[in-house]
Amino acid sequence: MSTGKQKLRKKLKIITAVISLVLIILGFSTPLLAKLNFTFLKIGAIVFGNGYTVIPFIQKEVVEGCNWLTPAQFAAAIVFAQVTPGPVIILATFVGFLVAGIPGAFFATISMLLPSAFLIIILAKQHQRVKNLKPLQAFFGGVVASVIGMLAAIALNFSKTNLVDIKTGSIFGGSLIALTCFDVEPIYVVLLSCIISLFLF
Amino acid sequence: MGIGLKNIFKSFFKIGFGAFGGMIAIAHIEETLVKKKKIISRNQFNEGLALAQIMPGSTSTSLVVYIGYNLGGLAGAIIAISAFILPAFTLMIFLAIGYLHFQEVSFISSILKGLNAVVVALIIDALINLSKSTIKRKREAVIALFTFFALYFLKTDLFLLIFLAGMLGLIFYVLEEKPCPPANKS
Repeated sequence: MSTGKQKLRKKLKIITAVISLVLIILGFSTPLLAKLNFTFLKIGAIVFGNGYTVIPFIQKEVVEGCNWLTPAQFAAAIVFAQVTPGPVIILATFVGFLVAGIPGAFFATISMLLPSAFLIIILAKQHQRVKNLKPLQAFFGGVVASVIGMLAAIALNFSKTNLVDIKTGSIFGGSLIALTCFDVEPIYVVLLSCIISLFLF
Repeated sequence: MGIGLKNIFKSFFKIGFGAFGGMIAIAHIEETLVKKKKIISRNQFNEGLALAQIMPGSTSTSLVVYIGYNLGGLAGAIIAISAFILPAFTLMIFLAIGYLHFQEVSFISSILKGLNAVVVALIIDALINLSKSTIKRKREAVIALFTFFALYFLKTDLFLLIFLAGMLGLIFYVLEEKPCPPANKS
């Protein structure tokens, strides 16, 4: 019984290793995929908290740096990330798809998740030591606080390009009040705005 | 210990399907895996959550990796995170396909105009939520303001900025007054 289990474990390990190898080769097979993977590995290493940190970094690397997405497409990506289940880092899927189709979506998502998953697996057995590292916590605390400032800068930039008239201004105002004062779930705010937009524009 | 990879997949797929927003996912994990199924102990869950919160990575996905790894080793971690992300991944692919095909259609483009306005509200809402959970003392507010000015007016590089913010956090910690440790009398 136990030898059977051990055999299965060994098989699983070999399968995992082979699949990883194939994925690495495929992921770096074209210059475009390689650049996409590098970009998202980099971004995946600096995700904190709810995952909102990725928004300024994706904007910098993907929208401004590589011109892979237009600002309008990026705005749509953020909205979609909010209405799908799971964390905001699913933005990577949308970006990857627009850049390189299904393979792009697949690899961008894996690259985004890989750095943090790797760290967690390495540290899973030593969390006692990590937990008591006060200076490390202070460092990451500062990082998370800086995300607030980054989001504010992004919101300001977006508002300059996206809020151009009374119509867009009122959709923004209405959404903000619903989200902050009445704690309406983002998905309902988005759906309602879609319906209102049909009549407004 | 050991619930089988199939069950790991099933559990996390369900959680990933119902989890809109990262924090809800964490509540789901606690509800189903700790309280109902008792697959992991409360203690282990808390340890994982603490680790997920301080390490890089979105808290919910890190926690999923941690629990998957504890339940079934490396294979468990891979299965858990794949199952957790699969519903959102699939939905996002469909949204992206729809977006690419229909962005020129007139009624879709009017919807997108509206969404361009909504996104500003979504970011501000995220900002407010993050402020509520993060800004506990003056130092966090100082770092947030510093980052905003550096990014908006000076266009400082983001990676440099995130490093500077971490260093500021560290400096605040070093400067903070700590109780004197007891003298070493021998």
